[in-house]
Amino acid sequence: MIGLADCNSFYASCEKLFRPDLRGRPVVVLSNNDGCIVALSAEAKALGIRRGEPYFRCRTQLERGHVAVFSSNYTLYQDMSDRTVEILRSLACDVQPYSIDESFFSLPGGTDPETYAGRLYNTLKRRTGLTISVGIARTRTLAKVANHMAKHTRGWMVLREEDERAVLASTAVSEVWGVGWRYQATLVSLGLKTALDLACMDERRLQRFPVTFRRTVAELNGVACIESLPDVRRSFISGISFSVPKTSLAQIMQTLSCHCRNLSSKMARRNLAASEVFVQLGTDRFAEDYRLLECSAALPRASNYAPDLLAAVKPALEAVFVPGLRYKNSRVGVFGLCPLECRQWSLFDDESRIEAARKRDTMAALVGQRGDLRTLTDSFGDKRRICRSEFLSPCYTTRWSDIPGAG
Amino acid sequence: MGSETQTGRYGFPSPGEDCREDRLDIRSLLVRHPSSTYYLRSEGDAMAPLISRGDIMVADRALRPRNGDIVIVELDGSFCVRRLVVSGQRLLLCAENPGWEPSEAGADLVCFGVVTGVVRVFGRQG
Ligand SMILES: [Mg+2]
Repeated sequence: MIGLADCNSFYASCEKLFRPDLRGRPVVVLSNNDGCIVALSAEAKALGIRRGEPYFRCRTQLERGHVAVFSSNYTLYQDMSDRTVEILRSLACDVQPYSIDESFFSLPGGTDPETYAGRLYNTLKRRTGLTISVGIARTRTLAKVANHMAKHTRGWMVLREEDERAVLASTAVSEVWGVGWRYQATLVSLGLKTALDLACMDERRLQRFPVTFRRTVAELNGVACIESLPDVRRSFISGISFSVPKTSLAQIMQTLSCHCRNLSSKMARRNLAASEVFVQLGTDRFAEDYRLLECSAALPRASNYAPDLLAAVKPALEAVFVPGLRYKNSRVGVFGLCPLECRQWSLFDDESRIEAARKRDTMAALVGQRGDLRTLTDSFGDKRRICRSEFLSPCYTTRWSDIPGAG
Repeated sequence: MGSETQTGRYGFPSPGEDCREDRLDIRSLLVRHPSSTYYLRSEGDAMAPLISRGDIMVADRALRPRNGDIVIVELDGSFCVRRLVVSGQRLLLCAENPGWEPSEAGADLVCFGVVTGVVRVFGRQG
């Protein structure tokens, strides 16, 4: 059996753990640069606030709902994530972190899954202070389904083989791990609505789908075939200084497209996709009137496709762009990296995208952009100094100056 | 290589080499479960003279609170440090400071962690 431990409302829960005054109150966490909402507590979800909403647009709604607003404090979240993984390692076998708040694990031998799941849930809750749902099933994909059910019930769920069919019949295809909204239209047109429909797809039809999709279907049928997960890195940065200052938005966008392509191939090489992009644009940093423009955007779906990154970045940059300045450098970063399996491709995209990529590469070679692009991976240093984060919480667990007080 | 060792070119092996132990580290006294240990600063006088204002308290979430433990609890939306006294069915939160009355806690009491020790760092002049 394979388990998945997934923290509920992770960022918001980390913030609430050290703020007893926020018990029962709605909490939201903003993206880098306070651009949009990236995480919400259950109370905030109940108010109808949605993930991805730009902060400036829902500001009054947040104020009216007495919602506590936080800038994202990745220092705190990463430490809480590390603690959770350490604790899970002491309780389970083969722990494989999958994202900042999820880990797969296997059960120690000779344990009854039902008893184990309940004990794991309670112990994780006490030791971490966070609510971590536990789903256990025959494969990773089924464990994801079990975890989803656990979240809506008592917090843990063991999906037994004899119950799989019934559960899959009440799970929408879009909720299956590895099958996203892009697939959904195709699947619905084929008359496939539930996870059970997927599991029962006939072989001939299945052959037309990519291998990752076929694996998902096998996993739904209890055949474990998603074995190893890639090493998850936290972020990638692509940066460049211009030899000649750039002034127009069009010129800047051209450099950003280089960054996006660069980041795209970096992620693709490691089978990762991003959920957030971040742009920084600076004038001469030694000048007295030094200006730094920053913006960030959440991707509607995790992606490592350069045009997706660029499309997310463009409106965000247009909103903050100051014409007439002499820009000397630009940087693009991707955050919230997750393994490719959870990225959602459209069915017939692969081919056309490869073709499009080939064309772009030829163009790049002609224009000579590639040589112009210097990569400064992870050279950002302390992100806190660069990003705007007006509502940043203390680093309660990593700085002596920031530890909480008790009367 | 053997001859160089014999001539002492690489120095002499320490007779203590096989007896080496880990040097004492204060963490081994204070922190039993590093992944579930948090530090909080004492801000009140409730636990004086046992715990002073400014002391750094070591709180372990892995321990289940028991009768007599010093605990960090949530009281009226803030963290407080008290001694937990279980008397029959009642849960009492007692201050160490004789001037403070114990308060009774409900079954919904939220305990952040059990305090396993305090650290006080002396500042120096100059
Ligand atoms: Mg989660």
